[in-house]
Amino acid sequence: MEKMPNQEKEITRLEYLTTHVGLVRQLDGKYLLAERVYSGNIQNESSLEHISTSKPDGVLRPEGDTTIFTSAGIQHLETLERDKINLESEKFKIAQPVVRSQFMDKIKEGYSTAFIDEAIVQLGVSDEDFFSMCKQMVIDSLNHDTDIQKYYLTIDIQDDRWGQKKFTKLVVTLYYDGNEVSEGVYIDKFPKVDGQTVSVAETTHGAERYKWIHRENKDQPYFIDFEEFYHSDNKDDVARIIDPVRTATLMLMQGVVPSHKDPGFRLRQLIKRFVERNAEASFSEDRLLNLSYDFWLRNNVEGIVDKVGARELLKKEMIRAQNVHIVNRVERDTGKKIKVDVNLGTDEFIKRIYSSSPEEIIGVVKSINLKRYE
Amino acid sequence: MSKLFLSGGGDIETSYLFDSLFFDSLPQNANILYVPVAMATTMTKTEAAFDWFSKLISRHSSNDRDLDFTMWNDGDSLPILHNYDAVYVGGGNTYRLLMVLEKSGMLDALKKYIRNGGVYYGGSAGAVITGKDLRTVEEENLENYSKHDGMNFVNNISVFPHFSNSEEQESAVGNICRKYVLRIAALPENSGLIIDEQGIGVHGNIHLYEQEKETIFYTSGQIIK
Repeated sequence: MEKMPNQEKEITRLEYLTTHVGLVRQLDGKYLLAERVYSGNIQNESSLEHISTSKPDGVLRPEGDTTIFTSAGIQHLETLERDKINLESEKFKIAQPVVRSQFMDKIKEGYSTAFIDEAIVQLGVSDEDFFSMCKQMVIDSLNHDTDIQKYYLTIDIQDDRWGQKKFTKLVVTLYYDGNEVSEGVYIDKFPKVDGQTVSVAETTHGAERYKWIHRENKDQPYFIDFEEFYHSDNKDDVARIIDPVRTATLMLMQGVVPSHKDPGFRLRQLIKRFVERNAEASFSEDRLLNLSYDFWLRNNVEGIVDKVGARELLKKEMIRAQNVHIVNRVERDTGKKIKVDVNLGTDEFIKRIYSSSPEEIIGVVKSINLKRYE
Repeated sequence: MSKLFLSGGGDIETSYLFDSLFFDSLPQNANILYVPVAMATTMTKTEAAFDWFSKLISRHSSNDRDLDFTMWNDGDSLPILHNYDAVYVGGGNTYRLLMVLEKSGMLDALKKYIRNGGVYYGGSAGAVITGKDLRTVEEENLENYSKHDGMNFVNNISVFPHFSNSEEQESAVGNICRKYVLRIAALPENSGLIIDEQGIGVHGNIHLYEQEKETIFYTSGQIIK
């Protein structure tokens, strides 16, 4: 079959990328690090030190942005365009607290719904500049472990969409010991709001995951500062408890209030999961909130709501989540509905159920191990 | 008894009335499994899909009605569907949807779930795959997928979503109907079908195309024979 010009362009670009970065393609499509490039003393590829660090965006994005919560450091581009900054030669580093709700129900050790996305972004740069950034991304990991056999990369071309903006991107993903550690993205035609396009090159990684993957002590848990909770052998269970309250704290301190509408709905979902997952372990919510709040504060998150205010909101919502759990249990166990306001305090909620329900429902409620969060 | 809600598609406001029938049929604190795989799954799209479904849920929630959901994507392990009060399969590319569901084993799990009394909502592509044949949207078959069989829960009827009463669309549906010998329910965006023990109930106005027969126009409350 005759090659189409675009296909030819992509093949040339891939060949150029693998040569420039120093990669060797395997039969399974993965790329290994070329020994001739990466064995011995490796020099830094490009000086990215001169790029200034931008203040991170808020976790909650303004109405009209691509997502409700900031989900990547590169979304700072939306802020720059809103502030009418010319993107042509913009460069920035950012350590952006982000929320990826899609992970909420898939948490295990090594993952989190909220994390610090460390990104270096350069606009108006060439393929070659991007390849240098990718090489630097590899070198940064090699600085933690020089064994090149432990690394491989994948290269994909993906279509993406930010709201109305559609574009194609080249994605270079670095793996260490089989774990995804960092990623390079190149968009040669990123659509700007003025209708023009600009090239965007980015390398990025989640800071917590990066540290965890490259940890020297293999017992070190993913959630640093929360080591006191890891008494169990099963780190996944502990991670599933810490994750929702840590993410909820980030939202609470940024002024999100639980509600049935977003962004409060997302917070409500998280606190519900925390209450359910912590039912057995009973970790102190106060302690978890304190540690979470301090962590985010140290990572440049503005405490719009102070710790006391965040704690009050958390407890109030935990009481509500427990009431919702009771309603669910009764409906599932008896097929009957409780018509008592779930927004009441625990004592009043229970009192009203007892005074208005048949024995069958009261029996179910009595069998639930109730917690007092007041 | 299973219940299927098949929507002609459209945005949250357009399909609000039909969607209300689905959400109102669920328990007060229902937990829904949301399947957005008809859309491509790069990071931004996945997060945007999560946002979209939250927005939809919000529209049908209140302070004492706690709907919740979990999102299932390509690559995730197969969930136990009966742990959910309903499964919601959203729109996008129908062939991509079929391919992902089939490859993951989710298609068989969904068929079993529906046969065993599950509640299913299909929006656009999610509605088409419950029909007999996918070739009502054959222009979406970008990868030349050779299979066109849907789950066939609509009494051998195929589904055509986003139907407008334009001459062009009427002619297109008529052609598909003749070309592949199909019975086709053409659903405008503010309409849908509800399938339960009563039969195939109509919400809104829909057209039923059948080869060699006159097109039948159905209105809300009617049952398709």
